[in-house]
Amino acid sequence: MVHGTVQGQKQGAPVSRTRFPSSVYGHGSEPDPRFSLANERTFLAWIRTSLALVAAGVALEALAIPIAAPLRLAAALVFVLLGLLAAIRAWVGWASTERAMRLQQALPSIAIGGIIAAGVVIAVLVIAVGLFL
Amino acid sequence: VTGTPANRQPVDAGLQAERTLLAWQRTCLAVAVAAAVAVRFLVAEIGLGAAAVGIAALVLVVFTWIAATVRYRRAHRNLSSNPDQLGLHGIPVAALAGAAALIAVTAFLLLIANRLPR
Repeated sequence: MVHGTVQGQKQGAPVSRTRFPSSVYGHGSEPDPRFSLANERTFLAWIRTSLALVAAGVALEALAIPIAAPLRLAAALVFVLLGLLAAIRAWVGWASTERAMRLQQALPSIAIGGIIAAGVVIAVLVIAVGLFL
Repeated sequence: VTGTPANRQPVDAGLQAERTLLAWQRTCLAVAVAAAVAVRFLVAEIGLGAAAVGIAALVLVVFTWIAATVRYRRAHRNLSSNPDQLGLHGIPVAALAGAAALIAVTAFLLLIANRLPR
C-alpha cells in the first residue's frame, strides 16, 4: 500500500468478469485501493452536486422567487437539466476513471465540467436579467 | 484489527475506506431527503400513482445504503488479507446514480408541467 500503484500491479487481482460492471472490471488489474476509494468519493461529490443543482432549480419555482416568470422557469430548467447531466457524469466519470486506473492510462478529463460551469453562469445571468424586468 | 507483532500495519491506513463509507452515508441521506420531497410533491400535485417514481428513487437509496455498508465490510476483509486488494464492485454506484437521475427527471417533469406546489 505504501508504494501504491507499483506494488498494486505486482499483487493485483487478475482480470475479473464477475464484478459489475464488466466494462470496468473486465480490464487491467487492481489499482491502489486508495485511488479506487478516492474515485468513489469523487463520484459521491458529483451526486451531491447533482442534488444541489436540482434543488436550486426547484427552489426557484417552488418559492416563486419574484422575477419575471418565463425567465425564472428558463433558469430553473437549466439548473435541473445540469443536475441530470451531473448525475450521468457521476456514473460515466466513475466508470471511465476506474477503468483508466486499471489499465494504467491517463485519467479521463472532466469533460462536461465546462458545460456545467457555463450553464450555471447562464442561469445566474438569466435570473439577474429577470430581476430588472 | 491490530494484527500480529510481525504485521502491525493498520488495515485501513489513513482510514480511507471508513471515510468513503461516511461519504456514502451522508450522500445517501441527502438523496433520500430529495426523494422524500419528490414523493410528497408528486402525491400533492398529481396523485398516488405518480409517486411511484419517487418511491423507486427512495428504494434505490435504501438499497444503496445497505449495499455500501456490506461493501465496506467486504473491503475491510479484503484489505485485511491483502493490503493491495480492495476487490469491490460498482453496484451501489449505479444504484445511487440512478436515484439521482430519477430525482432530476422528476423535477424536470414537474417544472415543465407547472405542477410544483407554491
